Amino acid sequence: MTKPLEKILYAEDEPDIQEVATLALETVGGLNLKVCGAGQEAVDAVADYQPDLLLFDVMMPGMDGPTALQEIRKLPGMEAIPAIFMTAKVQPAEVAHYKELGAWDVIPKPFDPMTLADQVREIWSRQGQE
Amino acid sequence: MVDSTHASPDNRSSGSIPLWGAIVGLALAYALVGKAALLLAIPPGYATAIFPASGVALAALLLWGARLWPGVFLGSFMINLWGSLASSPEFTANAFTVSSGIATGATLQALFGTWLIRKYMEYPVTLAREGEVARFLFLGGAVSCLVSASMGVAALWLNGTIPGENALFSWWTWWVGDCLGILIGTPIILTFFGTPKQLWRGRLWSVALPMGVTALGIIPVFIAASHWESDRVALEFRKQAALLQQTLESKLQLNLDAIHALRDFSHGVERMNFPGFSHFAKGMLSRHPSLHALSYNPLITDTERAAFEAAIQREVDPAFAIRERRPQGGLMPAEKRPEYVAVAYIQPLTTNRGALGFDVASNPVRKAALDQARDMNMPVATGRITLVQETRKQAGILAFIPMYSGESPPASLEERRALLLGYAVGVFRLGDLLASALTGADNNEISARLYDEAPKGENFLTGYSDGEGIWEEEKPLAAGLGRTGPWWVKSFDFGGRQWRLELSPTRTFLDAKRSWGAWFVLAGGLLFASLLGAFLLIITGRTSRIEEQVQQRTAQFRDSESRMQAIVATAVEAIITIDEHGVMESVNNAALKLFGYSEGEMVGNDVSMLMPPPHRDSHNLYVERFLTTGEAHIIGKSREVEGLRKDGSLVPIEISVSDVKLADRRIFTGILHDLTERKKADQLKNEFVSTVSHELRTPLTSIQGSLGLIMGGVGGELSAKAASLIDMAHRNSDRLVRLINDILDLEKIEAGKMSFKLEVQEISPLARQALETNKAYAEKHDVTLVMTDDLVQGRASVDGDRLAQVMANLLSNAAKFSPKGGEVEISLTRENGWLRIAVRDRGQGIPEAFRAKLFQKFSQADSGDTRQTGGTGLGLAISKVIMEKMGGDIGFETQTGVGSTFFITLPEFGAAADSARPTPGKMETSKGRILICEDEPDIAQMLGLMLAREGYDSDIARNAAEAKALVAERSYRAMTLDLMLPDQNGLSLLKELRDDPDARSLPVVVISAWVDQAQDEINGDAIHVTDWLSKPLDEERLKQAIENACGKSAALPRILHIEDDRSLVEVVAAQLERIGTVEGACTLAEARVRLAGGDYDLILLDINLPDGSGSDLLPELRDRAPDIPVVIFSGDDVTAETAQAVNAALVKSRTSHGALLETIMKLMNQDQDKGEIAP
Repeated sequence: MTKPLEKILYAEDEPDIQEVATLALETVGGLNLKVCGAGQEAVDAVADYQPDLLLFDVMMPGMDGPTALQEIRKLPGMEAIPAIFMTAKVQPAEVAHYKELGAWDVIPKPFDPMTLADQVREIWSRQGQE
Repeated sequence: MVDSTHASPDNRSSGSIPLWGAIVGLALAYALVGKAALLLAIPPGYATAIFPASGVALAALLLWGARLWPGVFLGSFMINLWGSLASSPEFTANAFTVSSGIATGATLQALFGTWLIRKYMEYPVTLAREGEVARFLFLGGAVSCLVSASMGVAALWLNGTIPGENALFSWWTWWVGDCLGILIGTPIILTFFGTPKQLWRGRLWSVALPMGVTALGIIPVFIAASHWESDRVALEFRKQAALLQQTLESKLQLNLDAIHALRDFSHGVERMNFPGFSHFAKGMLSRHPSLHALSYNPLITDTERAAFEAAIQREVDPAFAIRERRPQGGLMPAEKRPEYVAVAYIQPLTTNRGALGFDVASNPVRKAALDQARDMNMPVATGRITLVQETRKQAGILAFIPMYSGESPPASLEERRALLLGYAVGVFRLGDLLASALTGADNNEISARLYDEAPKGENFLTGYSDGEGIWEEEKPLAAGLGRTGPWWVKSFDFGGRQWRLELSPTRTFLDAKRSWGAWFVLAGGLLFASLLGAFLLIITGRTSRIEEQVQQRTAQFRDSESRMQAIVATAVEAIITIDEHGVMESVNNAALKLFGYSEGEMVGNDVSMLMPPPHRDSHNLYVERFLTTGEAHIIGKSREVEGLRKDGSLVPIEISVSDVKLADRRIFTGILHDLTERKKADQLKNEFVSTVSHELRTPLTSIQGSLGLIMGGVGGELSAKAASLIDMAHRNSDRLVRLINDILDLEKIEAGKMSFKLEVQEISPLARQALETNKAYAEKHDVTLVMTDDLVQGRASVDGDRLAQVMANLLSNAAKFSPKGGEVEISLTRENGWLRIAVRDRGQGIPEAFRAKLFQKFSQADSGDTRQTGGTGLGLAISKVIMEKMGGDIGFETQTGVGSTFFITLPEFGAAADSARPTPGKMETSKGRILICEDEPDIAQMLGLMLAREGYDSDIARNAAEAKALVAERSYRAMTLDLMLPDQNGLSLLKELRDDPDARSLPVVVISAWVDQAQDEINGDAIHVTDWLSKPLDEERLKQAIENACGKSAALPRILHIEDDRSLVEVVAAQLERIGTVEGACTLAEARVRLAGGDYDLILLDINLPDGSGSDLLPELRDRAPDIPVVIFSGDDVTAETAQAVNAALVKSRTSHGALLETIMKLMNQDQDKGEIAP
């Protein structure tokens, strides 16, 4: 995949983390970001926003990240949308589970804000080439 | 006044009896027992072999106190006085004194014995131990008895009753008698009256009776021996007496012969004259010393008297006259009578001059004898007379022999009276005669009495004994001697009279002839009885002691047993004991509660009923191994296992087993701790930790992120001070994250949630990689990481990432604790099958106090250090768990001030895999190599042993990674597979193997406790499993399964390799391992034997053999089985002829192993066995 990563739909219920991640991805990383506070919000927003990539927290009130991903994948044109989970729950079994759900990769929390965008781009380009 | 209430405290028994009564009783008992014993005394004297009165005295004083001593004195005094009164009826002061002396001795002895025993022995006397009995024998017997023997013998000696030379002997017999009396008497009395009652009364039958019976049984033997003894003495006496009688009679006869000779002499001479008579008589008397005198007494009528007197006056003595004895005394000229028988000549004259002229017919005694002699023409003796010439009072006799005129002796009485000329007369002094007969070497110590048994009443003639000489008056026999003892009486004729000789032995004779046989019989028998008693005392004492101990112990045991039972029964932990076969012997209440069974349902059943299948299998293996090897692996260790309840539910338990060695067997005690609660708590804790960690991460994400952004300049430029503060905050939040990660790691590992991707791989690249990875961190601490040059090459099954984690921990620690500019050295070595990576620093070393808890969680040398070093305190704990999960270990060596070395060890792959290989050296090679994939070392080893017994080699893979590595490396005939492996499910390993072209056809035997489940699981999957074996393993079943998997040993081609180089046979066998079984034969002879014994599918033949050429075998082979392919594999080329006769001929030096293999396979017309066996 040659297309550079531009638009990310980011879902995170924790406002502080939202802010840090937004700074890391937009300000530091130069990416476009739509931030959602909950899973359902992300599902609702995806059609309008048409992101290149989903970056979801796992544990969110209401609809969690994996459910939101599954819901989005049911939407037309979204069947293969790339997704990354960013979560504190990174036990191997959990990671394996996320990957089975179609996540490209998992970024553990806490993340390094100065390199977060690089990590995301790296996953984007790595997975995109396959 | 002595009051009996002041009795000594031990004087219990006499409480009811007044003291004087006890004393009198003792005196009587002493006297009676003593008197009875004296009946056994051997005459003469005082030697009784036992004097039990001493025993009575000692026992009485021991039992009722020394105050009873007067009883002993009185008793002894009575016996002795009685004895002396019996021998001499009149009571003398002497007898009184002697008796008192002896009684004093007896009393002192009893007191002394009592004192000794009280002082040196336990009191009351039990005589229950060897030492006590020995002391009693010595003190009470041997020592105390010195007193009475010494005093008694002294008294008798001073009194003169015992002669000095007999004193020592008397003393000895006295001492022996007293000793035996005490040794036998005291114990018997103590059995009746001694304390403790239980002990002593118990000995009535076991000691007193046998002792008494033995002692009494000796008495008849003693009496018999005494009789035999006195018979012997009597016989000896009679022999001697007969000899004496004979001597006496012959002496008398000789004397008569001398008188006869005088008569014959006078008859022969024309006229008797004095010189002729003197000459003749002197000669006769000199030859017959007991003949006192000879005289010639012619018959003189009154008319011839004057002429006769005148003639003799001229011839012999001018004062000669015929004389007679007058009642007034003195010899006077005889009164006128018609006839005289006067002493004309007498010899010896000087001593007998007084008798000269004496008319023997003037005395009526003599006259009667003269007439009798004349009338009978025979020698006639007078009765006892006093010789006229006798100065002493010695009895004498005269013997007359008549002289007649005419040639022949007159036949009739008238002729004799008419023709009588006179008499030849002999004078006998009887005392001298008797003395001369008795005096001789052997005749001493016999006393003799000679009697003349005259019709009107007997006359004592004379008596003689060596001691007393000749005696004239009759003397009584000495005391104790008499006609009841040895006695000789014999009458005989002498000179027309009847004499009687009585002989009796003197005491000296008896003393000399007596032997001590009877005494020794008695003393020896009694000694035996006393020793028997001693023995019985010891035995009964010991028995009673043992009984007492047994009772005590039983009580103690009962007590401790019931206490133990109570403890066990009420213990909170479940306690189960099993025997060597795993059968439960006891279970306590907690165990019943834990498993939900009743006691009856558990005891007697196999303990494996409490175990779910996997544990059950390993348990069965433990038991089996224990029974075969005696090794008990789980003893002393605690293990966590699962228990199976009656309702089928599982319960986590911690079990610790201890081994109890009983006398003849072993039992095992298992203490089971219910882990349910702990597990629950652990789970809660883990969940809590997990949740908390997660919840902590969320705020930390914000903090860390914000700080990172600020430091990254997103919030604009910072002042230097702010930057420093932000840096500090960032560092610490970073540390907090690491802390949380470590805690989670640890929790995961402990909860078994951390998975390991084990892979067999070279370790040295991992070590190098660790150096590279941690180089930067070390440099931050100004520390250089260096690698030693001599890294060994070796593989281990590890999870590379986890090993890196451990290495990072060790290296960062080393860097942190090294001095600035220091070096940390990494090395990789091999030790006994282990690979060892060591990290050495030059720091301060680990403080002593800290070493023990180094691998505990949250441990750091000093909590103050935490900040400085930035560690979490969990690194080593995590490293340790990781190493253990990989089958390795971690450790350290440290020296304060010098540095520390931390090392990790890993079992080297391949090093231990051959452990199950059977010992080499057998000619027959293995049936093949089997791979055992089993993580439980005990089971793996068990399988290895079972396979070795069947002739298989085996390698052990402890996990899937090792199995894969081994399969890739070596060829196996089959593989056993456990489904529960630490790193991978067995079935997924199987799938992987089936995808691997090399291992696709490897026969696999699954060994699992979960066979049914596993079969369901793979149902429909196209993976081939050759066989399924369930645990516990049945060896027979395993053997069968392996043989099937290997393509059945019967179906395996057999190859006979005839070759004298054994190592070549082994090499070929290894080569052909997968094709057939190779059997070797070194010689032609061996080959023939083998060929005769079995069918081979191919013969591999060498030509140069020790006993001939291999080609010689070819005709035989062709005859035997023309179809068997023969391959010559020899050092040299063979002849064309030989080459034609075989299927192939190969030269060793020109043939590669591969070519050999190919040839053989081609000949056997089959492909690789893999192809045949594969599904």
